Amino acid sequence: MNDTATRDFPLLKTEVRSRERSAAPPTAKIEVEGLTIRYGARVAVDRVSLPLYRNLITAIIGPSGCGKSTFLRALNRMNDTIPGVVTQGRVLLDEQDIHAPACDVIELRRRVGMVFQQPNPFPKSIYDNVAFGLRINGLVRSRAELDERVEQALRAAALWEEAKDRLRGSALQLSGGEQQRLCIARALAVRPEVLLMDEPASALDPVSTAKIEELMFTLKKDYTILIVTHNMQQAARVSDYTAFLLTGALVEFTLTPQLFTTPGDPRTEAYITGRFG
Amino acid sequence: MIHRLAARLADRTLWALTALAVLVIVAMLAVVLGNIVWHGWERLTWEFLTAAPRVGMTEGGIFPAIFGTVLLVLLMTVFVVPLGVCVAVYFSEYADRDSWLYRWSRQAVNNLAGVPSIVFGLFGLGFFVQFVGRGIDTAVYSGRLTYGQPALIWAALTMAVLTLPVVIVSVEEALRAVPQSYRDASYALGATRAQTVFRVVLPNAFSGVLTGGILAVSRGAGEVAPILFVGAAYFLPHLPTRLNDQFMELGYHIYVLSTQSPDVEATKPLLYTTVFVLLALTFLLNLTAFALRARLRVAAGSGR
Repeated sequence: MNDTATRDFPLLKTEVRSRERSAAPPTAKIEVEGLTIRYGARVAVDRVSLPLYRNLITAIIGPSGCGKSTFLRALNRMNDTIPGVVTQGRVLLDEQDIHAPACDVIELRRRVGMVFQQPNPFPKSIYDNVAFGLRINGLVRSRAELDERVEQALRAAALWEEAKDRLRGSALQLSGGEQQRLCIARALAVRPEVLLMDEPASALDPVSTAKIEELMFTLKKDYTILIVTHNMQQAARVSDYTAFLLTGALVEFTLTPQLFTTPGDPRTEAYITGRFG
Repeated sequence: MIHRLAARLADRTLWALTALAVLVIVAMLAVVLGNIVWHGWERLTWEFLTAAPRVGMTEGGIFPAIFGTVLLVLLMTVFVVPLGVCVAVYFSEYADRDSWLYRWSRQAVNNLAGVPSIVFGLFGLGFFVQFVGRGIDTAVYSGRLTYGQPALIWAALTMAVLTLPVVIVSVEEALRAVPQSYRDASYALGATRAQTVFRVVLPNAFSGVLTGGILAVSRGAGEVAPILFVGAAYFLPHLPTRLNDQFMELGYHIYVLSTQSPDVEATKPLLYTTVFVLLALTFLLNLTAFALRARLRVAAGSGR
C-alpha cells in the first residue's frame, strides 16, 4: 500500500503529492507520557504525551520557540549535554523507559539517530564521517565490513553515486544538500531504529529539500522517523501524523490529512492558515 | 568658521601625536635590533656556532649554550604540553563553570601567569631540587648526592611550570573554537565524552596545541631567571648527557658574558653575537608557530 495519491489541503492553499498510509493499524515505537522539560525556571515542553508510530513519519509543527527542538532532543537524551535542563515524565522506547537507571545513554543514542538543522559533517573525509559511529561503537570487525557498511549507509542516504569516487575527499567540499545527506548516512550507518530530524531542510535550497523529502519516504519502511519543521507544506507532504505544539504544550496530534483539512482546535486552524506564527 | 578650524586643528594634532607614538616604538625597535645585528653579524661564523668558549670566554663559540638551550626547551615541552592540554581540556570540556573547583583553578592559572619569573627559580630550587631531588636521593641513592642538586631535569620542570599558562590559554582558545555542532554530532552517534574529546575536539584543535607548544618554547628559550639556581652553569667542559647534569644556556650565557668576564672589551663582540643568535632563535620559533597556524588554517578551510 505505497501507491501515490494526491492530497488536497485547501486550508494550506496547496496541493501536494503524497503516499497513502499503510492499512494496518500503527503500533507505537516510542511512547511519550507527560513529558515536561525546563530550562531553569522556563518551561520549554509542558506535559506532552504522544506516540511515534513504527515505520511512519511523525511531524512536529509550531511557531519558533514552541519547544519542538527541545522535545525532539529529549528522545535521545541530547538535552543531557546542556547544563540546567530538567526533564520530567516518561519516554518509552519499545516499552523501556529511556530515563531508567538501567538505560545506557550511549546505546540509546545508537538506537535513536539524529540529524541536525545545520549540516554538521566533521572536517574529515566522506568515508571517515560515515565510519565514525561504527568505529567508536566498535560495530565492525574488519576493514571489509567497514567498507561495506559505509557503502550501505551512503546508498541508503542516496549519496553513493555522487560520493563513491571521492570517499577520501573532504566532506566539507560537498554542497549543503549533499552534506545533509552525508549526515543522514552517518546517522544510518550505526543502524538506528528511530531517526530524529531537526528541521533537516531549513538550511537547504528547494531542490535539495525535495531530495531529502524523497529520501524520507524510502527510509520510513526501515525506520521510525520524527521530523521537526516550521514548514507546514513540508509536514503536509512527508508526514503520516502531525503534532502541533504551541508554547510547549501539545495542541493537537492526529493524522496529517486530518490536521491540515479539518483541524480540531481553532488554534491549529489559525496557525496553519497563517494567522500567527 | 573658527570652530571648524579648531576642530580641524585638533584632528590634525591627534593624528600627529598618534603617528609620533608609533614612530617612537618603531624607532626603538629599530635601534635595538639594528645595534645587535650590526655588531653581532660580523662575528657570526660557523665556528662560533659549533665551538665551545675558550680563553676565559674571550674566544671560541657558544655551541654548549645552544645545545643546552635546545635540550632544556625540548625537555620542558615534553612536560608542559601534555599537562597544559589536560588542564585546557578540563577547563573547556569537563568543568562546570559555576563550580568552586573551576573558579579556583582558573584563578590559579591566571595568577601563575603573573608570578615574576625569579620566583619560579626560587620555587624550583626549593621544591624540585631540595624537596623532590633530595627525596629521590634519600629513597633511591641512599643519600648520595645525585638528583638533589641543580640539574637539567629540574630546570626543565621549573620552566614547564612557568610556561604552563601560555600552553593552557592557547590550547583552550583552540578547543573553544571547535564548533559545538561537532560535539553534538559526536554525542548523537553514541560517543562518550572521552571519545568526543579525543576523536573530534582535540584533532580539530591541533593547531592550537602546536601553537601553544611553540609559544611556550619561545618564551622558555628567552627566560633566564627561573634557571639561575636550578641547573644553568657558568661554564662546563662537557655537554650534558644525563638528566641530572648541569648545562649551559644562551640567556644565562649572555648574563655571564656581560657580568663575569675578565676582559670586557674582548668579550663584547661575542656578547653581541650571542644576543643576535638568541634573538634569531626566538624569532624563528615565533615565525614557525605563525606559519604552522596559517597553514593549518588553510588546510582546515579546504578540509585537507
